Amino acid sequence: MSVDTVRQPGATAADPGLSMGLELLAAQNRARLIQSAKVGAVWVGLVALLAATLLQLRIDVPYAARYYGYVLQGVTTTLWVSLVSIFFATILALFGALGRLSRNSIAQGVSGLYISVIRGTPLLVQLWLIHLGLPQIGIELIGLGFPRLGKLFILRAVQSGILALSLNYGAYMAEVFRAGIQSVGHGQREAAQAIGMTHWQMLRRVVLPQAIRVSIPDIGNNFIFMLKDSALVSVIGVMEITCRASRLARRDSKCMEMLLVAAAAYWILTNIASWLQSRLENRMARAYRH
Amino acid sequence: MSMETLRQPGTTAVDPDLYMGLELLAAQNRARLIQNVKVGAVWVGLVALLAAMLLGVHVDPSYAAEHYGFVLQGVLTTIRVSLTSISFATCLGLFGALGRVSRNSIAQGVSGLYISVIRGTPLLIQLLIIYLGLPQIGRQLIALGFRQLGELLTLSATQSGILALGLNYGAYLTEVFRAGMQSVGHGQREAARALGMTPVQMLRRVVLPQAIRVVIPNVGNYFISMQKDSALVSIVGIWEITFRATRFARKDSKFIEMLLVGAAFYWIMTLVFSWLQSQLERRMAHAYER
Repeated sequence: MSVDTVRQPGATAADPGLSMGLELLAAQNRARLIQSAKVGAVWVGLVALLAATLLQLRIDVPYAARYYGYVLQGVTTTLWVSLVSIFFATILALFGALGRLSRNSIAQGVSGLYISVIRGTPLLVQLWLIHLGLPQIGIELIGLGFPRLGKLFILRAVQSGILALSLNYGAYMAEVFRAGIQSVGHGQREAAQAIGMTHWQMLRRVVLPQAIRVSIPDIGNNFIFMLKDSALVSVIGVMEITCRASRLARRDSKCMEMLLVAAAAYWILTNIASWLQSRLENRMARAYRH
Repeated sequence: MSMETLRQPGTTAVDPDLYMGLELLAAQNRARLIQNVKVGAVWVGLVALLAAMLLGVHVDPSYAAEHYGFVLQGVLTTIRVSLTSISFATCLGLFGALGRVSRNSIAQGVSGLYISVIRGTPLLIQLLIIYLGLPQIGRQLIALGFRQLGELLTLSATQSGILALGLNYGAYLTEVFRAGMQSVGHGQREAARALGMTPVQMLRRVVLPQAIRVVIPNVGNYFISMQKDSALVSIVGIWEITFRATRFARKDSKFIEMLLVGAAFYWIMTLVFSWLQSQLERRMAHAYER
């Protein structure tokens, strides 16, 4: 559309090209809507097909209907564990990123080793180490005559789970936080130093507010991953969704019923979280629109 | 460095700025080297400190030395499981991507549902459904008279693990393949159609060879991730690193010793394969140098 055909305020002549363009757009939107409807129909059809197959194979729907509440009580535990862990992980990631960017060799060394070890080992092994290994140290400490210190090492299952998830995600998020901190323009740091701010003042007032803003979508994404990784803490006995589901599954041999309920619960949780995440990203992008 | 100070063939005059520039570079390299050595020393110091603390609480290195071979045998299983799963996942990723970009509603619907379900549920739940849920269905099928089909669904632990990991990573690799295929310019597809190629020919001769260049580094990264996620299959009883480590750990309550041995193996594997990955990426970048 050339400049002279743009509607000027006051003009009443309608440009024939404009209506053709609008019609094309409308046709495209219609086609997209039809395609989405078709794909939605395929989804519904697939789920119906799966349900019919399972019913045919005598899956016990009344059993699932009776016990799904027990599994859903795990949702609160899952959400609680995930929220607390992402909170601590964010703090750890912040310190990890600052350490990696620091000129101090000790800070760089500690954070570098932390990130390398955590990213190089599986979450499950870290979970076992914290849940089974720390009490071993604790018992030894008690034996050596440090009862209070030793008891500190003997964590409950929920505490071990939160600690393991926080440490793990802190290391992965540290890299993104580092990129966020570095994304704050070098000129701003120079200006802060020119004004006479100390290093910490510069971090607190100039760099971190902007860096955290950039990193918030990543925190949201990691929260969604954490909702799924929280299923791992079921192996140490935290009564969240997976643990409750597999408990009933093993007890009554109704594995498919209970595990499908659990899977559905996670799927709904992650979809809600993803929707909230996209709304969050839209709101945050608004500030940078012209 | 201005043009007239460039060394012309035959001249013997040397630019004084050249020396200063080279000295600056050398000084920077020295400083970087010193910093790396300092950080390396901090790493060594931290590991030594940790070792000293663990020895202080009577962690038994001789126990670890005795049984590390048993855990080391798990490395082969881990690599084998990871390789098989990533190959399976790559095939799934290719078909998933083809489905996602297809105009056929059924293909789009199936791949879309597959990706949404897999990415919305935890790997652990998927593993348990395959290992515990499918045999339940298989038993029903056998009872209904479909003996072969029922036995097909009763997978061994290794098969369940590989299937679960493959399905899970296939959903994530779908995005990688989709990005790779879309990175091939639209003009090339038009040219291929103009030449009269069928879509399959276009895929085989034009799109995929170029898409592979984007896909391979990402598959490498996911392979490294998969080695750590393969720790989950220890839950269904595959004799890989984590399973072997926890076996002795539980037997003699030597959790820290054996789990640290297991963690060390994972860490070394990650470092080795990450190095190989960077070499691979460097070689692949060669082709695009000017």
